[in-house]
Formats: sequence, structure tokens, C-alpha cells
Amino acid sequence: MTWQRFLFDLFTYSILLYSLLLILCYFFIAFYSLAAIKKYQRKNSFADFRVLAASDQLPGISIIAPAYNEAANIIENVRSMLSIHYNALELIIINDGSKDDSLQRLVTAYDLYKTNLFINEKIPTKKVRGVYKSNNSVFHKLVVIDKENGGKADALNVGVNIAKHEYIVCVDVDCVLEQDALLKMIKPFLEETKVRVIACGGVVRIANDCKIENGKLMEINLPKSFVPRVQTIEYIRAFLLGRMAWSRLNGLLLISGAFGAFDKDIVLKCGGYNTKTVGEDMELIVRMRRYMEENNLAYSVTFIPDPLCWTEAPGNYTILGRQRNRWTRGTIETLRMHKKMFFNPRYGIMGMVSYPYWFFFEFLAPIIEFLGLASFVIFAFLGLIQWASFFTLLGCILLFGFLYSVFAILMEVLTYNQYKQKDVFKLIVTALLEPFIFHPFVVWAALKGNIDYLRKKNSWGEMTRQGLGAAK
Amino acid sequence: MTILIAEDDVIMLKTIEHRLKKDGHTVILAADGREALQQLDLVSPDLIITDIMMPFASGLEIIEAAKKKTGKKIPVIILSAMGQENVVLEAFQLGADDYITKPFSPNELSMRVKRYQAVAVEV
Amino acid sequence: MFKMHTLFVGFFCYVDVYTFMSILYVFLLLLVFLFILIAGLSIYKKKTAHNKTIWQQSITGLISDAIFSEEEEIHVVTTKKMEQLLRKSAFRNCLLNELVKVKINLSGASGQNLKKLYELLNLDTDSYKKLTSSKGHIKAKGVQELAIMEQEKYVKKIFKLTNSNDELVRNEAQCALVGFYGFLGLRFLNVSTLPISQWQQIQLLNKLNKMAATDFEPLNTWLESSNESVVIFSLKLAAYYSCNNMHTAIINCMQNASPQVKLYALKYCKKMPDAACADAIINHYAAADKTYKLAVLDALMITGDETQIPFVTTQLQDEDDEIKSAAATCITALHPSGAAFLQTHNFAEVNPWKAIFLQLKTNRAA
Repeated sequence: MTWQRFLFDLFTYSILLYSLLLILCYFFIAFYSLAAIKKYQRKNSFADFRVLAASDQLPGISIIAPAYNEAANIIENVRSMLSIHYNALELIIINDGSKDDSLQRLVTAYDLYKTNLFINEKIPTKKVRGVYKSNNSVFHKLVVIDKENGGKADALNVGVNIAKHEYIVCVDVDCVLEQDALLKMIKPFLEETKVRVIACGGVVRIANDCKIENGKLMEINLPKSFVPRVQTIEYIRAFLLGRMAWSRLNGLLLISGAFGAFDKDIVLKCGGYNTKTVGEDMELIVRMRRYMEENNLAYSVTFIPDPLCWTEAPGNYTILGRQRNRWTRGTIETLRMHKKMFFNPRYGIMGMVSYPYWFFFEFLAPIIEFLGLASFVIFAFLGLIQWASFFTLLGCILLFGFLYSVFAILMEVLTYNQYKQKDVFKLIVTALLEPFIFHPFVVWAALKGNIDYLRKKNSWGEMTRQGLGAAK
Repeated sequence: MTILIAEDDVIMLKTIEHRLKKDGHTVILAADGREALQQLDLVSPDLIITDIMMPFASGLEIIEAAKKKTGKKIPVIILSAMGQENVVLEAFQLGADDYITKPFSPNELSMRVKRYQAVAVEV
Repeated sequence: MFKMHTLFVGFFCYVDVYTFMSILYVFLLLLVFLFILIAGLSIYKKKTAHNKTIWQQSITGLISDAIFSEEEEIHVVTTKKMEQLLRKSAFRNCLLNELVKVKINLSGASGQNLKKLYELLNLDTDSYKKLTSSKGHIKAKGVQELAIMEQEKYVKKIFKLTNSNDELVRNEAQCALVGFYGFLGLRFLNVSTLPISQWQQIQLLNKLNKMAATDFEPLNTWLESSNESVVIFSLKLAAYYSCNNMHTAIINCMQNASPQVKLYALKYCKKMPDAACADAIINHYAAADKTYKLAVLDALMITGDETQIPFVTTQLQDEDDEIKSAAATCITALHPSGAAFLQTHNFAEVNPWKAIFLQLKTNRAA
């Protein structure tokens, strides 16, 4: 056997093993999430959310919504969040040194005045220029903070410092929340009797082409253009299957920065969001979990599958590319900061399962895929490839990807059934096209993220918003 | 008297309609908050009966919209499952005229509606 | 994030093509199966929706006839069609669901009429059948239906379920008892060994809303329960009903090791101020953690009087700014001259005290 042969075999077999493992993981996730969703839906059918929303026995929640150059829609967005039904609620809007007139607009619209609030700086942050409250008692839940620009994590930290309630819900200011969103989010914290729930994630759904009036979701539509539509499938797969399965395993590592609830006490004990990473949402969860593990405290991170939060997804490849590039860098940074946990039994499921999964199948996947493609080209030149095997194997892999997407769509139909029958068919067609049109781009963006990370390019990709609802 | 009823449970809506029609009122139905707001653009009722927690727009928003859209003070009766003090106070603060907590008695509702009829006739 | 066809393993020589072919077929079969499921599900959902719209009219008719019936007995117009429908279990279930939904919202004569309709159509046997199911969620549904329809004759069965191992069943059974008898229904707390979640406590308190109670004697027993959640719930009940003779029992609870119990005991003291409480609270202060300290300072604002001012003033020197702030707020409430009193301190012009005091001064003004 020549050394070339040996190298070739080593390479192919390790890649085959890798893909087999990946496929097994996906099978496991699919079936594991199925039972979890069913159980959740059954349990929740007994709760009367309409009555309980106003209960004064519920713990207080502070919503923290950082805003940077959001003037276009900020008034609408704040109004929408103020109309959420929950008794002990505080809405903290943080103007992170916007260059536009966000603050002036808020001051005029909500009749704000500057207070002398003493801020106990439990987490060090950039300077706060002022804290505003409304003269109008109808808006007594609203607190607006004006601060020097310091990035999303820094803005969130100011919110955590100021929040007066024991639970915090971090949202993107442009998200549209359902009216009972908070009550459903707080329920897992209150239901658990044996362990402490430290965080709860929620589903984020794509609002492109949905009808939104006065900051409220009026009609759910499937996005018309291809890019957001593929993301609809991506999100269903990730939230309904992936996160649901991980939370049942108590191995969830990521709660979307767009909508998540946290136990403020633990967030403070961990020192809040890390301003040195662009993946601050994932990093916080990993650090909170690590804190609990290191102090031997029983805990869980839960997730609820109800579609409660709707947001605009990147509508074109340029913005999408920036977003995925940032996600990749966030993942790498988080994994690097906590590399101590890699296959470390001290950290339980997180160390032995979640972290390795993220390392191998989230971080390494695009790299391996790229390497696979590159070596394929080389081997093809060398004439080492049996084309019949190649095509059947390629068929297997594409088919499996499609199968997984279709399963996700089935779960959506089975549970929340948000889209019309005609749209379900469109989704299936989109899933079929995804590996050829959309997927290569995502891999490319992730690779660029890796390269940018190596070059230490630490900036946030600027997300230009096309304006949600207000324009219509 | 023309009465706008906003309630998202169909059978409840029909029940209230049935009871008030028996008293000889003209009844306009809205199955959610949005429909109620749309109706307010078309007609100006003498009385509004509304739930608080409804899809698209809450009863509290309807109170404000009624003031804005019709330019006059239309009496509003809130009919809600939330009976907690804070909600009741908030509703009255926003301009509700009466507050009935579910479970409620349709006969009682009918009597309360009659009081507004008397006022409407006087004016 | 999700990565698909993570590799292009095409350069395979040794593994048989046919192995892959068979995998391919398995995937294809699965795919076909999924498609059939999706199609079947869509058709099924459409069909039930269609049935519902057809039935809706009969159901609405039945229910509104019953609601506005002015006779002593409820009558169901027995057409042949209706009789047929009432034999269908899907229809009965649909009717039962609607009936339950309406019953929650109606009281008085109308509510009673619905109960009569439920009994007339023997729907209670349907609910009872659910109660005997081995599946937790169905059992819980049965309990819920019987409770909403005020079927007290099943109370013995339901009482046994209040300590069921299935949380759903347990919660519904507890809610049912409170629904039947109000505060007296809480007697299941005597035998409760399983934890009652915070959520369930909120649900129970909500059910108790507006239900009068006179005899709070059982609270004393529950406060000594070995089930911690029962103790916490009793503390909440004592505060909720403003029981004003429980101070001794509740001060005893402060000896309890559980921080949660202590916090709820403080909440009671805050709601029902009493001179004895203030001293008892301070006794445990030094050894406590920050959350408890903050809660004490918060409670003292209401329960305390001028005698506690020296104690609170020393807390202004605490390392933690949050405690300083809470202490300052407390003093403002306790001292007759309010925030002005703070300015007499020699460190009033030094930060962070300056900032804390400034906030309090403006708060008072506003």
C-alpha cells in the first residue's frame, strides 16, 4: 500500500465516520424533540393565561431592549411592548449612543423627563448620560436610558444594572411579541420545584412579509422572496427540533439574543454580558451554566416552542453574509473562552455532549465541508473517484438533508400550523432547493467568519433594517 | 340603542348578542380587537362592551380608539376574566365606565346596559 | 444553525455502491412516509375543521337555548338529527369542550342552566371516563371538566388525586377542590407530601380570588408542615387573607432554614405590620445573605418605627451599594423629617451616598 493510498483511506473513512455521527445526531434530535413538544403542549393546554396575566402574585419582569439607530420604528416598537399583558412589568429601552434622533423621538412621544436615578454599577459599563421616565402615568412602566455607545453587550449590561425585578427578558427592540409572551416565558421558572431554572429561551419566527400594524402581528405570511423563506425553514429546524431536543437533554447552549428570559441574580453573579465577543448571547448562557456547574448547584436551561417573537430576517445575501459571519465568530470566541470544558466530565452533559457537539458539528462543519470539496476536486484530477459510488453517496446525503427539513415542516404543521396549506407546499419546494442555492453561501459566509476571526476583525456587522411594518 | 360587542369567543359573543337583542337593542359584533377597531370607523355606537385580552388589539386600546375615532364620549363596559384590582383600576383610569368580571350573569349585563339607555334617552 | 451534506464523500472505493443504494432507498421510503403524513394530517385537520363548522350551529343552538331557558327543567329539542349527533363521541367531545368554555364565563341562572344541560346529556359520564384513564393528561382533563361543571358528587375520587404522582393530575385536582369549596377545599394541604410549584400556588390563589373565608385555624397546622412548599403557600395565604393573629407562628417560621420561607415570612410582616415583627426581623439580619437583607430593609419601611432608625443607619455603611440605597430609602420612610434627615450625615456630600440621597430627594418631590 502506498502512502497516498493510506492517506486517501484515512481521509475518506474519517469523513464517513463524521457524517454518520452527524446523521445519527439529527435522527436523535428529531425524535427527542417530538416527545418534548407534545408534552409541552399538553401541559400548557391546562393553564388559563388570560386570567393569570394580571395576577399580582407573579414575579416581576424587566424587559431590556437595546436600540442603536432604530429611530424609524422605535415609537411603534415601544408602544407594542408596552401593550403586553403582564402585571409587574418594567420596560427598559437603552439608547446605545444612537447617531439618529431616537432619544428625541421617545422624549416627545412619551412625554419623558430626566430623573436622578442612582445606578448601582454592579457590572461596569460605559457612561450613562441619563435615565428618563414619563410624566404620563399611563406609561409608568417605561424607563429610557441614554448612554454612550458601547455595543449590544454593554447596553444590555446597563439594563441589567438598572432592572428592578428579579427576572429579565432581553429582546431586540424591533421584535414583535405576542401579548401573552411574558407569561408563557415565566411559567417554566415557576413550575420547576427541584432545580433552579436559570434561563428560558423562546422561538424566534420570521416576520418578513407578515402584516404588522401598530407594532402588532395581524397576519402571518410566508416570506415572498427566497432568502428569508429558506431562513424560515432554517429557523423551524433550529428552534422546533434542535433547541427543543437540547433543552429536554438540559444541554442547551444558546438562547437567541432576540428573545430570552434570565434569572437576574445568576446573571449578576456571573458578571453580566461579555463585551469582548460578538456572540454575547451564547457566551452568557455558557458562562451561567459553567457558574452553576462549578458551584455544584442544580439548574436547568429551558426552552418553550410557542411562536411568541417575530422578527425581520436578513432579506438579501449581503446582510445575511454579515450576520452568519458574525455568528461564526461568536461561536468560535465562545468555544475558545470556555475550552476548559471540552470533554471535561466535571461539566456534565455540557462538557461531554453539548460543547463537543458545538465544536464538531457547528464550528467544524463548514470547514470540513470545504475541505471535503477541495479534496474531492484533487482526487477527481488524480482519477481516484468511482463515480457510481460518488453519486449514490451524494444522493444519500442530499436526501437526508431534505428528509430532515420535511420532518421539521411536518412538526410545524402538527403543532402550531402557522402557514396555509399552499405555503406548506412552497416550503417543501424551498427545502429541496436549499442545498444547491442557499447552503453553499452559508458555508462560504461561515468560512469568511473563520478567516475574519483569525484576522481579529472584531466589529459587529451593521444590520441595515428595511423597516418593519411602519412603511406599509 | 346600538351596541358594539367585542369578544373573541364565538359562543360568548352569540350569547351576549342573543340576550341584548331580546331587550330590543341593535347589536354589532366584532370577533377580535381588529374587527372592533374597523367597526368604530364605520359606525358610532351608543355603547361598547368589550373584553380585554383579545387578538390584535386589547379592550384598553379600544377605549382610547373610541375616544379618538368618534370624537365623543361613548360609554364602555369592560367584560373580562381578569378581576384583579390593578387591571380594574387601570381600565377605569383609561376611561371605562363599568367593569364586569367573568364569570358573569347575562341578566346582570342586561340590567347594567339599561342604565345607559336611560342616560342616552335623557340626552 | 444547521449544516447540510457536510461533506462530499465521493471518493469511495472500498464500500460497496449497493450499501449506499440501500441507504438511499431507506431515506426515500422515509420521505414518502413523511409526505403521506403531511398530506394525511392536512386532510384530517381540514376535515375536523369542516365538521366543527357544521356542528357549531347545533352546538351554539343547544347552548344558547339552555342559557336562556326560563323554566325549571332544561329541554333539548329532540330531532332525529340531534339524537344521531349526540351518539357520536366526536360530537359529544366537541360539545363538551364548548360547554366548558362557556361555563367558565357565566354565572348565575345561566351558569346553572349549563350545568343542568351537562347533566341532562349525561356528559358527566364522559368526563368520568376520562378521569379513569391511565394517561395523565386525559385524566387531568376529566378532573377539570368535572370541576368546572360543579360535579361535587365525584369529590372523593378527586380528593384522592390531589397527591397524585402525575403533576398535571395533581394540579387539576387541587384546583378542583378549591373551585368546589374555596378555602375549605385547601384541606388537601394536610396530606400533601409532594411539592406544590410556584405556578400552581399562583393558580390556586387566583381560584381563591373573592372567595370568602372565616376560619383560618388550619393555617397554623400547615405552617408547621414538613412539606416546604406547603409552608410557603400558607405564608402567602396568611398575607393574602390579611390574617392578623398569625404573628407568633410566622415569627417562628423565620427560624426555618429555608431562605424562601424566610422571604415569604418577611412579606407577611410587611403586609401585616406589628411591633413584635420588627425586632424579630432584625435578630436574623447579621447572618443573612444579601437578598434577605434587602428584603428586611424593604419590610422595615412598613413594619418598623423610629426605634429601628439607629439600626438602619448603621447599614448605610455596608459595603454593598444596593444595601446602602435600600437603607437610605428605609430611613426616609421611618424618620419623620424624611429625606432631609439624610442630609445631616457627615458623609452626605460624598459619593455614592450623595447620588443615592439625591435620588431619594427627587423621588419625594415627584
